Amino acid sequence: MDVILFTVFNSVLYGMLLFMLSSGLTLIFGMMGILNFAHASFFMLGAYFAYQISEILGFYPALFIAPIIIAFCGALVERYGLRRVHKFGHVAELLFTFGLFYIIEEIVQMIWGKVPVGYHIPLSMDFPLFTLMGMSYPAYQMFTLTISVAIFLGLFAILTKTRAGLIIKAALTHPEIVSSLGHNVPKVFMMVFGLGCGLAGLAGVLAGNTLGTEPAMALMLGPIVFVVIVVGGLGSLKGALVASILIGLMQTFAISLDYSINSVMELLGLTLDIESLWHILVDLTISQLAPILPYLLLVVILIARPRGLFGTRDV
Amino acid sequence: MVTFIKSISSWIIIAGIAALLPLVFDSYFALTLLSKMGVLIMFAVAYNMLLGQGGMLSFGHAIYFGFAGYVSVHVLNGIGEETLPYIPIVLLPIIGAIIGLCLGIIIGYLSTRRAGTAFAMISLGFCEMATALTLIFVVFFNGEDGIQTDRVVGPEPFGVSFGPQVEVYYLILFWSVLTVALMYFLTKTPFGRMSNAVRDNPERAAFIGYNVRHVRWLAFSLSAMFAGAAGSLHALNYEHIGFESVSLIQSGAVLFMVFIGGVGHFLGPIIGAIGLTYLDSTLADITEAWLLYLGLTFATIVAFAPGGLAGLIVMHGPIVSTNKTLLIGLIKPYLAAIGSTLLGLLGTIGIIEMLYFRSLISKGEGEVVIFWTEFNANGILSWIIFFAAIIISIFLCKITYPKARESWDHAISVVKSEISS
Amino acid sequence: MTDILKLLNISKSFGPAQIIRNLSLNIKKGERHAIIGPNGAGKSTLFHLITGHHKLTAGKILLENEEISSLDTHTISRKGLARSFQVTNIFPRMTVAENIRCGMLWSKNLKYSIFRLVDKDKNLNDSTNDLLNQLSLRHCAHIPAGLLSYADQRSLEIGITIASGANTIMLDEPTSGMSNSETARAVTLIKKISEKRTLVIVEHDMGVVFDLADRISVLVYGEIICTDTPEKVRENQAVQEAYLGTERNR
Repeated sequence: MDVILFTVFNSVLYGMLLFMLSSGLTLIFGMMGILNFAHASFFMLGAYFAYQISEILGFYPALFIAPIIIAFCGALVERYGLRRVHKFGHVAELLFTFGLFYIIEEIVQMIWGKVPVGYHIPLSMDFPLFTLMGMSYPAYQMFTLTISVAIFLGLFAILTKTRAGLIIKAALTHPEIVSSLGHNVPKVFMMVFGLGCGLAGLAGVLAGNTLGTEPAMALMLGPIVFVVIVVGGLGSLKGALVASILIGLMQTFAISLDYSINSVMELLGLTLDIESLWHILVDLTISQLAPILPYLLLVVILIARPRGLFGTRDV
Repeated sequence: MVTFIKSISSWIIIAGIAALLPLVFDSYFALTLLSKMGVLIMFAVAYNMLLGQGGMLSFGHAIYFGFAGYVSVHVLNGIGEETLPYIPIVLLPIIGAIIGLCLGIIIGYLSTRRAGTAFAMISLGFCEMATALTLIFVVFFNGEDGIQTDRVVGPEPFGVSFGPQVEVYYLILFWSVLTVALMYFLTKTPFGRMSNAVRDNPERAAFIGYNVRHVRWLAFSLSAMFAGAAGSLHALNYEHIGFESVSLIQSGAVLFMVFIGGVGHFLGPIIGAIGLTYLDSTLADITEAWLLYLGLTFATIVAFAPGGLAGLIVMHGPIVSTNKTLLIGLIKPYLAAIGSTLLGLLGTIGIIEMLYFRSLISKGEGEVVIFWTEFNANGILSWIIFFAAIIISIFLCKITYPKARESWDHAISVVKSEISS
Repeated sequence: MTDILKLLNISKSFGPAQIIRNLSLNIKKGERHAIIGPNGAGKSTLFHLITGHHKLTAGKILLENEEISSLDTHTISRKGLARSFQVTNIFPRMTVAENIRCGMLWSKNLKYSIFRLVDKDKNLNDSTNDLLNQLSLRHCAHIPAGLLSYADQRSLEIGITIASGANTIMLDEPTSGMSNSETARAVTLIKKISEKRTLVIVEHDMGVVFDLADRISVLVYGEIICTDTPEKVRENQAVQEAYLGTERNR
């Protein structure tokens, strides 16, 4: 029971991290139709910048400064790069961000090398906050969790309570009409893109010291984020939250489930006596298949229900 | 009969020249490079069936390339251990083609239910699944180590063992000429024409009686088939196959080749495959920043010249066919624009090289060699020179690019008015 | 004359907005039938419904007594119903000849063939050249269609529509944006190509309508308020109020 509770806690933690990463992307995708392949790259940059800044100024200044720099970078990318590509269509935008992902990957390796850097949890938060049923819950993780929840509430408040939020929500479903109503849609796009990248950067700042800060970060987390936004539905913040938690639970629990077809059969009192290659399939545990599950879900959703759970637009 | 020979004459000439290359470039390095180019030409042209001809962006095309490679390696090992009957090595690509075709039909059936970005994301999903599968099913794929093989197996017909690289080269040459010719032939069939039509205007294609989904599915399957053939030769050439050949890295590499070379024209992917393979083997030794330059080039082409290098050339086609003299008016503005860009390129390369030098190795003691000259990366002078080059280039480009654009617009409007009845 | 195309009590709503309301119309085989009406009346939507681009909310559509209401666009097209578009919808990167040739591929039974070469098919290429001559586009056969003048593109648009040899042709504002001389040429072309076929044409240019049409239907707010010969339509009170404008000196 205590293990399950701890696993749930870890899933929620991981899920909230995914949410921070995907909230920006789902807004960008829902609004501009751009799938930013490099979104996880901004996450990675956030971690690296946080590392660099915390070496000089400490963790807390890094927490504030790094995401702002990343947001600024994102806005620049939109203004001088993506904007040029808009006219060639969504596929071209996807290709451009794919190139961007590649470039950022190389730049990171150039500056910081291929080996993980020593970005650590700040000492001030490196202690167990409380213990529940024999499992200790670290302070830093609770801190991260609090910030992610605050982000969700903040975004939700902006989108529902402010005028800017109203424009953004409208542009999520009907960008052309919003433009003909006189709103400076390019400027809105740039700001949303910057905000989205900034959120990804913040996620990087918070997670870089626990997951490890290395060049492969973007490649590992990037595709999962796509799964989240597709499953949750494009443009839906609520969907991103639900899907993030779902994927978080799926991945964390699947890894700990050692059930295979064979073991299930044994539980039922049957023994399978299978020779040859088929025994590979039957012996496969869910935990071994865990890496495939999110992508399987992605493909199924895209084919069967492209709107995802709460989406407002099709992909 | 005569007309047939005439029409395939250019193919014969090219094949002939390629066949004679080993006489000139006979070093092991050169032959390996040429073999690699041959395989990648096959893969790139196959990928272009999907991307350039069909208008479908896939991040997962390496699945067919890699899986065909895995099956081929098992076949080779099976022949070697005599657990499988002997199949002539020359026919190995056919096995790869069959694997590619089968996988392509299945995955294509699912993928072509969507188009555009959704299609691309589905392909990414399959790519990640396939990569994960190769690492999970260790019995078949042998995990991270991949599988070794020996291409010298079985009896040696006519004394050909495929041990020497030159023999592998000729095998690859044969198959690449054959498959590229077939793929070219396909572009001239009703299917090929409709594939282009579906790419350009799927709505209208439906209104002239075509099931757009079926056209796409067929293109996908055939493209996967040829990619599979390439994959077999890839495994044969390296005598090894690993999970990277199935992964996003491999798909990304062929995407770069095809896109930079040019998606709109049949020769584009061939140019891209040859060019990038050559640069990869030479530049990678000269500069640490080779992959960065590649990424930057790719992003620039996407943003400024989405037709790629071939596209830039072909774009002038209507001008050439209507009024060749118009081209003369374009020369000066083009040269000016190219010159200003070149200056900026030199500056950028200088800065990047110096950054790499200072960041990576010995934290940059001494001097770095750029453009075969020595620059002191730790002093301020070199930085100033390169930055100045960039800034001057930006100013020049602001003048020369609009001029080039103007002359282009002028040429095109002359062409348009000469066309109108 | 028999009815070739029957619209039986069809309706179409997009969400709460009902665009086509309980519309019935019979097109006779071989006739030239014009559909006129103010902007926003639903003429393009009607075309989309007939050709399978949109699904009906209610009612049935019959082509040669076969129900086509739930069929896909390409299936309907194969049954001999072709349409042109108000906003030119060609294949801009292909040459003019290839545009026409593609339009013919299915009807010439070439389908998805991967074994035949289109350049070598004499029958196909002869038919393409014949049609290009009819459209007066033979001289620019090898120019990318995107580079053509607007009027030539409109001709090509009509050309692709009739390339399949469909028995029922639907033209959506074929002369929109044309000058008087270009319009006259287009009308001559339309008359020629519709000789043994059924023509349904949406038009705003009243001169063209009264010149071409055997019968006219007037579509206002998703309903047909009148279907009759041109003279009777011109005199119809309701039509005058809704569309033509009542003449003061009567």
